[in-house]
Amino acid sequence: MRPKQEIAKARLREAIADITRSENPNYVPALPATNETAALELFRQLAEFLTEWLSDSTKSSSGEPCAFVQVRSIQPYKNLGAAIHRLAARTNIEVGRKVFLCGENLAVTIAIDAPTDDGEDSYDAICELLDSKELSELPHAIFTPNNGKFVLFPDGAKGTHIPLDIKSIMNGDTRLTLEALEHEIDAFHEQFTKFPSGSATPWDNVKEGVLRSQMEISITRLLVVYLSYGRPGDVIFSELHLPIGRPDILIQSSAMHEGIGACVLELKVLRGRRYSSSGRKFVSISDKRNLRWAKSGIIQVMNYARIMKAGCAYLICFDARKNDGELPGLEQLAEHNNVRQMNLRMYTSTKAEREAVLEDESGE
Amino acid sequence: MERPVLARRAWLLLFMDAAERNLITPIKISDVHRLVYLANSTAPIFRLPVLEGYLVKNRRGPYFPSLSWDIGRLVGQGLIDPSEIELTKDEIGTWLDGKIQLNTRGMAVCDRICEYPFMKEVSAYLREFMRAYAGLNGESPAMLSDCDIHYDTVSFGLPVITGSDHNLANEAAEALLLDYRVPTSREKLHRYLRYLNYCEIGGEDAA
Repeated sequence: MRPKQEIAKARLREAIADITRSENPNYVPALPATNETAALELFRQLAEFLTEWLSDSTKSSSGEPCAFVQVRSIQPYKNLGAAIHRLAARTNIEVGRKVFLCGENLAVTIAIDAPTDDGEDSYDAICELLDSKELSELPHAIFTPNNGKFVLFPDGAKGTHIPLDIKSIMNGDTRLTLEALEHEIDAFHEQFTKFPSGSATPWDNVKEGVLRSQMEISITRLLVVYLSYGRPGDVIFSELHLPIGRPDILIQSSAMHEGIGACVLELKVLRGRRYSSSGRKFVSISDKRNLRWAKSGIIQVMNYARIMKAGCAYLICFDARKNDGELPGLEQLAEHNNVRQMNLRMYTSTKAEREAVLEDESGE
Repeated sequence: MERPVLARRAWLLLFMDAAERNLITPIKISDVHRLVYLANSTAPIFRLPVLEGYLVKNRRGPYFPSLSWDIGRLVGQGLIDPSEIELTKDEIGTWLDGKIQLNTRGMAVCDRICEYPFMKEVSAYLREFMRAYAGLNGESPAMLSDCDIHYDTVSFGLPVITGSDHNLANEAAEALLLDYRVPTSREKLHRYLRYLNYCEIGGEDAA
């Protein structure tokens, strides 16, 4: 190495001590900056901001709702007479009855006041403002301080909506034990993927038992947001590139209870049916193929855990097969490789779930 | 020679798009040079090639003649809008500065560029870079480039080499990671820019 760069490296080492002393790791986004993930990452940051905002006793709040919209550019909204805020640095700001235009982070946001008409409900005023400025079709979220409800519309008002409760995650130790992690994943499944009405809207054709395409990616993104929500620090990541591939989710050791270490999750969706290549017919997917798919997940996650020196590894199967028969050898392979496995059944209806439970019981 | 020029301009458009998406436009042209230098020299952290790996250290900060030319061409093509163009004089000499911003036509071109998988990767990197930059709290974050490991160690008038074979950004960023963290490309990038901000405004205020 050239001597001058040696000097620079020495300076770098000096800086490390200073930076880590006042370590505030809460700045690395959990999701990458792509079209598919940018809105979810913004919502994640907003949830963190609103959690702090709610707990800040110096804030003044009318309790009225507000909205946050992700825009690609501020140019079309230049003439709205808006005020610029650095939301990331301020929690004592009054957010009520405002629409905030955000980019891909909270460093710069533009606030527009909703008109105050006598007698008009402030929620309606916000929605009206979103509609009148053609913002409602963009990714946005509406927050109601009174009850802590934070409703996300990642694909605009006509798409899926994801309700979150800000107040419920305000207190307590957020570090995870393995049991707590599994509990959170179960809770995620209940809200997002278990039934057709789940927030992830997993099914494309419920009657024929066909899931939406790209479900693995979609579930991964939502699970990252769900797990990192209310958990301070940049602890949960998606899209980490390794020479051997890309683990779905990495939870840094600082988010886990002491002694557990980092945790890597691999998600696999097991499908019952899919569209044929012409898109007009349906093709069943055999258990053999699903088993191979799930087993490949075990090999992947085992390798990721080894390379990253992770303390634990999970294979999480979102199981949308028509039957709930066991996949022979999967559990043994997981156990043999020290991989914990979760199988989360996805149902086409609540009736289908009841029938599956009854069948299980009669089988036993 | 036409293809490298096109690749360079596509890169610049994606760079301006990333700035637009983080609501930090219009940007001063002199800051564009500095940020382009930084985005270029930190690209190996994301395993991307360095497009311009050589420049001469200038007293005004990083400056790429080819970038000035490309900005002019993109303005001429109606993809970038200039504003507040002015001639300034200082002790070094006369200087043309101003602000630029991608326009809606430029954004549509960026969408087309991102249909190429490699350029989509470049776009994801530049958006991450801009997200990290926008989150810093320095008064003049564009001055960060002066603290870059490649730039800082070279005297004025001498070449700064950041090409792939000589690039140390990834090594430097890895040195900044805490032992207990699993290193990710995005964490390395964010941490390295934080480090530059730390050097620029000095001490613990930045951390």
